[in-house]
Amino acid sequence: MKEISQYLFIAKLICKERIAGLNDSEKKQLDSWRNESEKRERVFLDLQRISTEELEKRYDNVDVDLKWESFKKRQQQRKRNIRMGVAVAASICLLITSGLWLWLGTLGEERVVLAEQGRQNNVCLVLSTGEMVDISNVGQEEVKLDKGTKLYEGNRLEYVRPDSLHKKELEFNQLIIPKGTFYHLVLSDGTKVWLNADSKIKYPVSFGQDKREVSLRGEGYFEVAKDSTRPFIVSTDKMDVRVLGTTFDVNTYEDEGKSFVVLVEGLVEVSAGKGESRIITPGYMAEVNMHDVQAKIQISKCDPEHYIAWKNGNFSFRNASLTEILKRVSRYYDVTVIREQVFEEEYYTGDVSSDVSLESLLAVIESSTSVSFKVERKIVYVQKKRD
Amino acid sequence: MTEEQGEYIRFLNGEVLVFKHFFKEYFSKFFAFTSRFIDDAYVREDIVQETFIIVWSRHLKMFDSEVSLQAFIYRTLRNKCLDYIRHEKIKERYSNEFSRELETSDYLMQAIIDEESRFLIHKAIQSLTPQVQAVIKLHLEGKKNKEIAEEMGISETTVKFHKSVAYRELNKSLGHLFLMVAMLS
Repeated sequence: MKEISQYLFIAKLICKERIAGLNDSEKKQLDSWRNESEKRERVFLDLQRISTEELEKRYDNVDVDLKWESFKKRQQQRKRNIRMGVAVAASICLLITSGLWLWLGTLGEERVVLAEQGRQNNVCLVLSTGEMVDISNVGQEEVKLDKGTKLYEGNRLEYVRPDSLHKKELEFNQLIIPKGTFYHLVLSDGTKVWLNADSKIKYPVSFGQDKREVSLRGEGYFEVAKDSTRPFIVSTDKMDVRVLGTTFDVNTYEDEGKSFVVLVEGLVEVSAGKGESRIITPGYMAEVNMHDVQAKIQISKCDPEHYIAWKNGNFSFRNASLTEILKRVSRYYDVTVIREQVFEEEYYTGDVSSDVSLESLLAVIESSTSVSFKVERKIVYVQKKRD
Repeated sequence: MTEEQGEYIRFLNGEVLVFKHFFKEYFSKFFAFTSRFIDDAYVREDIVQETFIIVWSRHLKMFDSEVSLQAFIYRTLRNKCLDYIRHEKIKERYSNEFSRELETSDYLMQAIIDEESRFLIHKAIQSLTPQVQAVIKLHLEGKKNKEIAEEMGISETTVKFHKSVAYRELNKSLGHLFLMVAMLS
């Protein structure tokens, strides 16, 4: 692509040379380009005599308004096609998943499941003293934690110290979940948090008296304990979510390009950017574009079940693009995805238990798309299928 | 994707383009470009429309800047044209030598620079007043100041004056091009 950018630059120089003249440094650049080969000089000379009538014929004879109308028609058609494609993909996915289960049942020991992959990475807890401890292997050795912290097997951490009602400095802990692992956290007020792979959360060991505030990166599902005197606030890079006893999912993965909140129960207030805030009700989601500081909060209807499927160990795709799916695969299985070619985006809908091995999941995706996969040492190579 | 997002093309450098304007401004250029590979206007229109669909769906890739978007479109159009030709070759509608030349990188270089230069010149002329336009048109055909003066029935000094107006205007709109030296190396 770089050479094409260069061609575009040369064209600018030639255009300027033809009608406005070049300054010394521009002339030097054009000359050194021309001297490189005869073919280049030929391109330059061909543009020395131009008939403007021909240019008019070349560019002004197209009715662009008409072309724009037919483009819009194509767009509509494309949207319909995507939806049809989705219906087909869904049934295929489901069928194959159940088939896989039978097959996996007999070859149980061969599969590399998510949980096993997770063990290779360590869940870290940063204590109030700033000390970082590895809490992946419970029971093997005693780890020193802050007072009132209980660590359980099966990726679960609980804070049981009652919230202090005196005004004093809060002590913070930070939990870092690597790719390929999920975690369950219970905060000191009884709020339950499910953390998705590749996420970080910072929270006080016990909350203060006026509010309960945590900060999150990645994705978390919250079941907030009711307490009308102390609002619960989840702050993320691009937006804050303020709640009074409710259940919702906050997703702020940077590579997805947007932050969103999906509300399952209750009422939340989302604020972002320069003081904009919106209230959302159950079954709706709020979205904020991460790349655009000016972007407004967008509210839309959604199916919460789909967004929180990960909490129960399922992949649920609803009209998800291949890019989106591969990002999730990379996060859950802790693999790097490399695209060997550029290809057109495709969209799928389907549900798969994330308990299956990486290979099986890829086989399911492969069967209903135009791409194929090759796995080598934690790297997934994506290729266009040969037809 | 919502309707609203579809209306803009956002670049990583922070710039934003209205998709509809981009489409209308450049459709004819890209359509003309495909004629360097394929004759059939229906096939060409189809290829250009499909390429705009890819840009519109954009899940594929965020573009750094407008230049990289233009480069992406040129590359995609060429690939789609070559795909079509390979397919047609089986039906022997294209001769081997001709299609082999079309696949070379020199042909691509020539095709893009020629198309882009013509299009830029065309746009630049349109921004000028009719009097100045008339002078520049003759100049582009390769005529000397004296010939232009005779043909238009004006003095040579007036020709020079009109040209200086054009230079000033175009220098403003094209800007100084030395800033992009880094790209050449």
